[in-house]
Amino acid sequence: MSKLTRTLALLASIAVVSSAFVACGGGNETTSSSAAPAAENSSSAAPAEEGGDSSAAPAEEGGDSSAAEEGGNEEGGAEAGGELEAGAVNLPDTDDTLTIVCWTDADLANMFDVYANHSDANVVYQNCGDNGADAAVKYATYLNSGDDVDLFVAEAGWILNYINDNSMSAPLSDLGITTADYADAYQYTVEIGTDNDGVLKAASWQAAAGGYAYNTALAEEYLGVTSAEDMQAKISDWAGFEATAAELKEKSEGKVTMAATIGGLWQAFSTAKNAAWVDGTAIQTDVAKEFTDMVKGYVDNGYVNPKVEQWTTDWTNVGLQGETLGYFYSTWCLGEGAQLEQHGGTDGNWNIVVGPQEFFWGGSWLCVSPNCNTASEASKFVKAFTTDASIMEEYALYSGDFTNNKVAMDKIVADGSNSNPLLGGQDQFAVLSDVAAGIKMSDSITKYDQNLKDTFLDVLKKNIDSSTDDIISAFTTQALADNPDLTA
Amino acid sequence: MASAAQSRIKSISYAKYGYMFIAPFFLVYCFFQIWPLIYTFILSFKGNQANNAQFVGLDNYSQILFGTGSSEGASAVHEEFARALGNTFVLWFGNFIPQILLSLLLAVWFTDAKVKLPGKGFFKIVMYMPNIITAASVAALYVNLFGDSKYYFVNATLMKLGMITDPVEFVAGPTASKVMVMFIQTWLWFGNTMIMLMSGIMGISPSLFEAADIDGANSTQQFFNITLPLLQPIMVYTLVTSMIGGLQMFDLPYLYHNGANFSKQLETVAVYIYYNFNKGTVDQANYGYAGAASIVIFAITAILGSITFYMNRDKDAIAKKKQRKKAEKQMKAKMKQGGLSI
Repeated sequence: MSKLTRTLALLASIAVVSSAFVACGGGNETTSSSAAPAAENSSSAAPAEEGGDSSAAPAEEGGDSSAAEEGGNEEGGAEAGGELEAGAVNLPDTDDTLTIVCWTDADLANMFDVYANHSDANVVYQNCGDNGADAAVKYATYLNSGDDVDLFVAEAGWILNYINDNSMSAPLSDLGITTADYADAYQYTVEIGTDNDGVLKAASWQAAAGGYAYNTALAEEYLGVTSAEDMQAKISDWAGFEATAAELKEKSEGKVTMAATIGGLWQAFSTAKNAAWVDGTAIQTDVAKEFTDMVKGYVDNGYVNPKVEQWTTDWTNVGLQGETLGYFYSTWCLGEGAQLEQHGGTDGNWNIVVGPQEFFWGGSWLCVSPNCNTASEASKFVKAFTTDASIMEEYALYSGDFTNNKVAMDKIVADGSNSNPLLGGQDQFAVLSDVAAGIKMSDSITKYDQNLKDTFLDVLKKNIDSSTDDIISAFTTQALADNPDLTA
Repeated sequence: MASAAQSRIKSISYAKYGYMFIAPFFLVYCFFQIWPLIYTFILSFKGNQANNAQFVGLDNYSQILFGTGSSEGASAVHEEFARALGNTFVLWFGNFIPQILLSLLLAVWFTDAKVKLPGKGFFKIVMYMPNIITAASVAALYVNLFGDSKYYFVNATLMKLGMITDPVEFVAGPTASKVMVMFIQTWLWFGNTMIMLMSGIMGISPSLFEAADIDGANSTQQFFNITLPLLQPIMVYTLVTSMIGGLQMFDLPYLYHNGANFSKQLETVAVYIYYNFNKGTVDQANYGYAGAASIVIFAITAILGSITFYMNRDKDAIAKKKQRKKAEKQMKAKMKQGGLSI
């Protein structure tokens, strides 16, 4: 064989082999936060008070951050760096890079920007996919891979799968953080972060509280409502909501629906129902039945259009065309470029109120990996974003996120330092802090809940013309087929 | 006479270099293809959700095939699998039959020497075009054209023209969505099948068509007596590949939906497998059902493939082979008797 042929053959076989491995790696982005040369600082073993001399990274945000800066200074004294304290950690401290696995890289990028004002630790994140549902599966692979992971971000929908598995998550007490640190947090976030044995495993930096956002022009035209307070008074419970829907339908001659989607109603309705979905292994259908009865009435009377689904063009159009009075929105729908703006809230004639029921929608929690090897830095980070009122206030003003700290949020509301131009200058935090404080969680949340809720909503929408009993039995059938662990 | 050196050289084998060159591929193949295949079998005998490490024997099969077994939802599992299997066949027939008829017609037209179609090359390219678009783009395109409400193009147009009063649910409607998927699949694949059949027809000797012409056979007679019988090998190939593709149909049924979740009314077996395998985290997923469903679809494919081959085997060749064997036997028998019959 000539040399050329041999070389070509070798190249070809290498190509074949390497192409087989192509799919195995990649996909994860790593982004580092700290601008300062971090390795030198964090390699020292002393957990606290390191790098105190390093100058602060200049804050990049606009004028509104000055309030937060002051807040930080009152407590710490030092301008930046070294003001954070780690708890009494119970995990190794051998690495100098704090690695956070997430899929919410936009959130984390904001957090890192804020964090750089207070610490020069070397913090990086690993992004797994771009949505929560993907991340649920990708995390398991990542966490088992042995790659560096100190903290990871879990979503409301599937956090229970991770915090109830001791091979995936370590208690927060290993970072010296206890439930007592969360006296100022919104209680439901602590309840979700606590596993079945009552151990605190996760802490949230945000409270994804939601409210009913409505088109003020339509409200004035058809309901004669001119202020958010009047609106809230009309729809403060489900009976009021239904009565208002009936009034709206009559006045608008059926042109405008009260709620945009069944999905939105379900989001609000399902959150705070104090009933378990699974008792032992038995599927519970009481909440489902109650909601089915309610929604069938709504559909029959034209208070909601069952054909419109969330996350579709229709969802956008009913808002843009003024075919719905309002949406049930979570805090993350209210920012720039988010749902409110997409659905027509561009000229400031929308308002948000608490609505008939306090609810939350989504939300992310920080969990500790059992393989955490930068315990002190991890402890500082978790404490900074879940317990430190001044940093959380700074983060709220920087990112527009509703942070999980009553003191911080109350301060923003009292100072009046936040106003949302999309809501005509209304401070959504004022409304959402009422909501967040009022959210009550069921005592028995299980890892099956999210799947059961999704399945139920799906079955309900597909069979909305069937009788309640048929819908419930179709739901039970589907739930059993999906979850062989459960019984009827 | 060969020298000792020459005979030694003769015995040098280059085979080992060949093996060395193919070894990397086979190693990778074993790791990433063979082992997963075997592991699918193993998974199909293990439990679901929290029991996914437990050996359960044929429980998954009895649940998905007959609706009996350990879990309380066994009959529901069976119903869902049966629905998925039904959908698979409906969607496959619904796209294969129009597709093969259309492709055959076009292939005959394009290859017929008497029908001088202008712009043949252009049409061939245009008809093949849909096949190079990814299913994801196609699904996005159709969902946005055929959306369920009056805001989407097709419904808006039909309503403007007064052909319908209420929007048709092309995406969420149980029947309309199936028809749409069949249509899209046909549209995607008929160009490909057409090219395949054309190459088959062009492989038939033109002298046969000429002879038939001279004998006065019309186009229909030519088609049924020359084109079709001689096209059989390509037809079998098309049928088998389409059947395997059809039974594994995943992309469009999974992607063609509104909102966040796939449509249950379009759930094929492949979608069923993916959904059960990928449902939440490890202890939420139903690996057992997914594995069993994979094996069942594998068995169905194998059986249908064998039937197709059996029905389309070359009967003449088999008959000839039999005849030859018979003759050989007779010959041998005569030889045994000794002597030649002159």
